[in-house]
Amino acid sequence: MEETNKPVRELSRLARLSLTPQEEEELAGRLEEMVGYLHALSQVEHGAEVEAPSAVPFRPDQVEPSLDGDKLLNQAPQVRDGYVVTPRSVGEGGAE
Amino acid sequence: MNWEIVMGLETHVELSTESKIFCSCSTAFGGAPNSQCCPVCMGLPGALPVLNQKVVEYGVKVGLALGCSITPVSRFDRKNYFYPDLPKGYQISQLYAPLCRNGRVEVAGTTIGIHEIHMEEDAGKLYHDPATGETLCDFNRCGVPLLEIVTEPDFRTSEQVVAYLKKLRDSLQYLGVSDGKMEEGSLRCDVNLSVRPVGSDTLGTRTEMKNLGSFQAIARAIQFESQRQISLLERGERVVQETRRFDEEKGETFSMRSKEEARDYRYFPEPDLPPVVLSREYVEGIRENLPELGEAKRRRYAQQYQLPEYDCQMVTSHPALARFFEELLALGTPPKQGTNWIMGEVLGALSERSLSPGQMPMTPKTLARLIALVGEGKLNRNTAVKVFEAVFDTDGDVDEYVAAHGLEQVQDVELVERIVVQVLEENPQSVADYRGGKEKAFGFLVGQTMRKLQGKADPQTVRRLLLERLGQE
Ligand SMILES: [Zn+2]
Repeated sequence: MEETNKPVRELSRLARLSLTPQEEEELAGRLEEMVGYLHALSQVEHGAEVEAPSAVPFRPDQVEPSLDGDKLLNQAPQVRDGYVVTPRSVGEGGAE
Repeated sequence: MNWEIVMGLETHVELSTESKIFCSCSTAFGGAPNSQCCPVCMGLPGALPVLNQKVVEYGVKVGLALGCSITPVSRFDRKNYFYPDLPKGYQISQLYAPLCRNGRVEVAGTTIGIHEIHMEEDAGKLYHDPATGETLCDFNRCGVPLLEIVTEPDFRTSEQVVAYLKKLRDSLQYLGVSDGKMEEGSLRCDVNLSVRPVGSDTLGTRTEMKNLGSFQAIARAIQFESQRQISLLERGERVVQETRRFDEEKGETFSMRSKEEARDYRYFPEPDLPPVVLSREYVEGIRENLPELGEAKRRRYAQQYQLPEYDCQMVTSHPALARFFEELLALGTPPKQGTNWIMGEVLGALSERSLSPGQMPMTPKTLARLIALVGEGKLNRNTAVKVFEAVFDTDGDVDEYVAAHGLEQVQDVELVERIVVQVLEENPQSVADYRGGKEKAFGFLVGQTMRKLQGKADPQTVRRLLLERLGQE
């Protein structure tokens, strides 16, 4: 189990989540299970590729009302002047 | 030792669609924080993205304009990273099968290869509050469509880099897919730079420079960073592969010391979006309807209208100006007259009002009429400029204004002649001065005549008649 616990600890640190040892254990178990599924998928022969859907509908470029601001901000643990507040993070980040 | 600089560019272009790439939230600027968000762009559980067709269309347009081949079946991938500007915890991007590949652009006498162009979504905006140490997040920009254009490492000088970016901006504006404004962040450029001894064909270790907000900053950053790397190597030290930020004030680049694991993006195919399947007919339809771009227009104007290179450059500097110019021509304005008015009065009036050519209040029809009145001899150039100023903001009726203010040029040569005689009689001293060789006195006499005619005479006629009279006596 120790092998699967390591990535869980690393990811929880990056995600700023504090997990109890029980939660860590549980997540590691689930992760193990998922890796098992992926393993099964990788056994599928090549050439068994799923046919690409022929006509995928795109969305027209039209604006629809967004979510009511309060509804969104109610999800956030801390809010200031309409902004979601987080602790200052290391590095610069941003889309690359 | 002589060194060669090798650079490649990654440019992010913000597309000017109305709505976001995977949801119907508005992309407009200036909204209250977190007012343009929904479960899709916030990555709330159960929300599913649907691709905006305009983003595909714009991407294909840019790809074709940059000579790329369009990928018949392209796909989206998730780029995972932990940072508060990305509430989903991943960015939807394209890694394995980008929309466009293998393009080329001719720039400043050299060919720049385009490695690929892919579609992706922008992240939110973070504001750091030094007072509280908190980070404030506004997610309105999350999901705004971007194209990332990646070149091959084909640049050798900062002049080539700037020329490429100017050409790219020009193309984006003519294609109508982005305003391409670097100052406002709709065109963002990262430079990958390495150096190597001249003649070597292996690449050196590169650094990536971010936060380059202007052409000038790019040129300065390249200068600094290439010198830094050369000095390191000449001292026998090594270049570390890293991301560096350019400090505009200091004119230096510095390491961002980003943590190793932040670079581990754990890319995997986006399961919520089907592949983007584009038919040959779709792509060819877009190719056939590509607009004429700035460079092609410049060449054509020079050839077709025998205009100086400078004029062609100026009137094509913005697509709205080129459109204005072409409409003037369609209304019968002689090409050189058109460029003169655009380069002089029109650009002057726009800059005085801090307007971009796209915000021009005056229609081509109004200016064409004004130019025609000058051509017909009904207005002189100076009066026409005054009329221009008066009607520019409201796109007022030129004929009405001229009539209402009695500005029509005096066509009656006999009247002008009578006034000339009168002025000469009233100013014997100036006449004597002129005959005594004082050229200045002539200007005074022209001025007096024009004044008596309330500026409505053709200055050429006034000069001619004055010279005739002065020569006679
Ligand atoms: Zn949304």
